[in-house]
Amino acid sequence: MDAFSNLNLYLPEIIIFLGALISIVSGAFFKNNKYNKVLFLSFMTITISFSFILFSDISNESSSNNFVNTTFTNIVKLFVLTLAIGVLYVSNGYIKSNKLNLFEYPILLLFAVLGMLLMISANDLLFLYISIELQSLSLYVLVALNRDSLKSSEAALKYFILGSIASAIILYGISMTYSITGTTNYNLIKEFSFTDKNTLIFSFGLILILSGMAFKLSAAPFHMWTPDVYEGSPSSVTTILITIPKVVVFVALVKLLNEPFFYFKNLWQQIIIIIIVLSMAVGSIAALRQENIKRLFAYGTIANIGYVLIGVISNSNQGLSSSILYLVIYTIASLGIFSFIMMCRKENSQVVHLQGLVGLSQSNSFAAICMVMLLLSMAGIPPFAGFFAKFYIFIAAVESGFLSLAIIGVIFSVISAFYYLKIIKIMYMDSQEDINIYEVDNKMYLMLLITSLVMLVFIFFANDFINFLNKLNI
Amino acid sequence: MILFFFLFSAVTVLSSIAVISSRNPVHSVFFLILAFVNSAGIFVLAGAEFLAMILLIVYVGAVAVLFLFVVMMLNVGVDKIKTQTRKYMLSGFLVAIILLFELIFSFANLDIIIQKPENNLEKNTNTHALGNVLYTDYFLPFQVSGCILLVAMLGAIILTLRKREGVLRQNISEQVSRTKEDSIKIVKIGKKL
Repeated sequence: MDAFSNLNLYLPEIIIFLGALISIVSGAFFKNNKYNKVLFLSFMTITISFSFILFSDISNESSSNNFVNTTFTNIVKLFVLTLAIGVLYVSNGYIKSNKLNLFEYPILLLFAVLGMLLMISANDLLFLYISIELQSLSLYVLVALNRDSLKSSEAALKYFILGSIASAIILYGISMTYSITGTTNYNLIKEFSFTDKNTLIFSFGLILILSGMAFKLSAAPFHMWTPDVYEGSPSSVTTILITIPKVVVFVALVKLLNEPFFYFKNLWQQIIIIIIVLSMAVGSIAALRQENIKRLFAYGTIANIGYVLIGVISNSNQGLSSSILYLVIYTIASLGIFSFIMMCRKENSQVVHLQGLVGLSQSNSFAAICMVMLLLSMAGIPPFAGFFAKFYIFIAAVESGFLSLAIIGVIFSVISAFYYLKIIKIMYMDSQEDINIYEVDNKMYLMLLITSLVMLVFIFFANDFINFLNKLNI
Repeated sequence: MILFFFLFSAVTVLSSIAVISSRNPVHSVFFLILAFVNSAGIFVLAGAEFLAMILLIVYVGAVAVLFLFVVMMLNVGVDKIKTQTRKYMLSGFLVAIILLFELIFSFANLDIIIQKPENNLEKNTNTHALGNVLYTDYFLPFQVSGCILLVAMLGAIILTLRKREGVLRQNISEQVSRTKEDSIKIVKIGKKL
């Protein structure tokens, strides 16, 4: 009766689940203005869950067989919930102006968040798989939400088919591991692999699980779906895809590698080094020729995932905390950039091409300045947060003996600075006779302001933040 | 016992061959169902009665029926498929040979794969054993998989149910609540028409 005795353990997740159920039912009964009311309910749900985690002692470490809460997982959960609120808040205007304001939109996001929270705490391969599925299935539907657009349907189909194959590969790997160890529990697998080195099938399972997770992270050899899906899905959904799942899958991957597969470090280190180099190369070089804004940032994501993974292979807690730092800064910057992308509308249609940004510095200087800060941060130019993210990552790489990896990283970082700076050049230098007019939404302004301020102010807190993460014992 | 095994497996193999060789796609689906039912029989012989039930319910009850619907609705041209088959003959043959060698290899090294799980459920059936852990050890994953089904249902509704302008739909409550007064208009026809 393990599951019932400590219900406290799952309370934040249960709150999200109940909130989603209430939202479904009330969404069906509300007569008018369904979207706004359900949106309010979802905000409430996320806030309650958030405050529950926050006020019920973050450092509370408790666990059951397949579910573990630590200080670190609690903080990641808080971050995920904050991102979810941010995404819902930003996408409000976009959703309405594109007539996507179905009341199911926030509900699906709630279910995706539920899957993510469970994934963060998962301590069992089977449970990990099921929570990945819950998250992905909600996201597949969100991608397909814009039914009138051919591109959205195409993106959804690609995402669904490739995503299911990736899930199947993860499941296959899990079955391999199970066939050797006879258990799916992380701790038991770790014990087993310490005593019994029946490596062939075990490492086969590890590789399969790792590839599936790399697909979900959109890391390089498994990145093919990323540009198409990010371009095709509605921008608000792209904002979700590019921020929250990355954090969650990364955390789940770190836990996976450091607990059940800890004694196979030599094997997975090599695989991840290949993934890192390929991701950085593909992301930086393929983005150079992109004309579509969303495709460009999709490739940018691939490159960034490469940098994030550098921290995983380093042998220290410090490496992991620099990865987390990178991920946090990257998601916040992406949130800002995508709220900008959603904001850019010209004559009732979305600006999709880079050339559509010509003359932005004159028509909307405030948004242009904020965007410059975000882009410089992404490129890793010193006073902004992105610099510190890359700085700590490279330090961790050098300290754990991956000097060549750090050098490759710096080279690709310089290459990727080119296309971030290209956007700035288009906004400021390229002149055009008729200045573009942009319809804007106040909410997105606020998000743009907040995120760019974070990028600017981070320099004062960099040291404290990294110390805090170092102490966390991830 | 061994007789039944050969009966089931022979029918499975034969009907699988019939699936890919019959001219009528509807017949293929029926043969597919036959193959499923027979492999369920093999599962029962192996003592995995729960898998047999699941195979019948999921594959025969849902998947095969879905296939049947698709085949009947799409009206696939058989001859076209036949000509396409020849194009892929070579690559298909290659894959088949690779699979064959893999099977031979894995049977040759059988001792590394088969480790029977410890059976401490003497008299209990598989279904009993699953039921014992489903609501205890695996309570949480079980509930979450229910959640996944809910999301799947929600998604299907979102993606297919839509109210379009200009599509005439039946609204039963409106039909029932109509009265004579507001549906029949009596017009007096004058002398000059």
